[in-house]
Amino acid sequence: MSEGGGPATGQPVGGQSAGDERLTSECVRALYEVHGHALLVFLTGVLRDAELAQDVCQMTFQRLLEVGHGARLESIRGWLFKVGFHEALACRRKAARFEKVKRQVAGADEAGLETGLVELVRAEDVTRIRELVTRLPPEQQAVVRMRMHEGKTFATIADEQGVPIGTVLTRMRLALEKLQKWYGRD
Amino acid sequence: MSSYDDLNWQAQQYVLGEMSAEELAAFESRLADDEAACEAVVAASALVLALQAAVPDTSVPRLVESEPVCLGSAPSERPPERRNPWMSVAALTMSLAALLCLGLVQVPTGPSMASRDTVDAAALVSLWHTGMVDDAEDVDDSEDALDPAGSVAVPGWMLAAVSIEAGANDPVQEN
Repeated sequence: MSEGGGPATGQPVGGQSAGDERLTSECVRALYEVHGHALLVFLTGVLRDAELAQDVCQMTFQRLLEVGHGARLESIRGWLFKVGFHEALACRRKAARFEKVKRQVAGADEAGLETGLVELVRAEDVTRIRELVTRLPPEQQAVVRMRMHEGKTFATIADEQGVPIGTVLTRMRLALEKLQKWYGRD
Repeated sequence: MSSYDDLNWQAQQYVLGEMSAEELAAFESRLADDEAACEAVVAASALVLALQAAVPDTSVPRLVESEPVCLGSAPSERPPERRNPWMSVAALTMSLAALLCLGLVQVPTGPSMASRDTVDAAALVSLWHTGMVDDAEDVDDSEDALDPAGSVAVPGWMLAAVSIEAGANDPVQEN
């Protein structure tokens, strides 16, 4: 990653002399372009809140700017995940206050949350996932729909389908495994 | 199941919020140090986000909302019923007669003749039942459907029904 100021493997990320303490903004920007989306998706999975995930992602790269110069290039991704995860847990500890603020914000403009989610998913990915879902067996499609689209719990799905909850979990697991494999292919 | 699949499944459960408190604590302690677990969460989160974004137009068969399939009730699975064909014809004839009486079936002689058509049809049915088909005294002979000579013009479908009924020894038929 020489264009972003990143040095060869084994050296600090900053690509600067040992005396320098902070990364350049260009370096951080380059690292954001490489790892930013993955980190944002990771934080969204942890926090299940798109706006909060964006805030934590910004905080993480701010930390990278401040103290990331000591991290190794080959482990910078892991460093970002680690720091981001700890930042996310710290934010989640303040959940009551954040939830209240989020509800107030959501009441004023729910589209903001939706916009955040949409930005994480490209239109072509949505089209692709829709097509992939149709390839699933009907019973797996039903579980995916009821869980993901209707927000029903697995227990409720099991009751409605008249099958054990273990069956529902198995169907969901098989469905997600297939979707994960198909979705990951280019 | 491989450990890779187990990790992916755990990550998916984590993103979906389906873990118990103990499982959540254990998995999050793993996330603090295990980059592979973090990558699994990235993949699971991306998939879940895409699925959630695909909500409105996703065409998923609704097994729960579809009509229950009962073995033996589908037409193709039911054994062919044995019916008396004449019963079907008789039922059809009576249905048509009832419709005429109710005025639901109109003789196509024009919109202005609708009410008179109903009366005439009812009269025809009445005449047919009483066997007095040739008696046209109670029928409006100015109708286009009537025979210029003054006799009641019985519709062809009724004649066909009558002939079938005659073949079935229908006591009503007297012709």
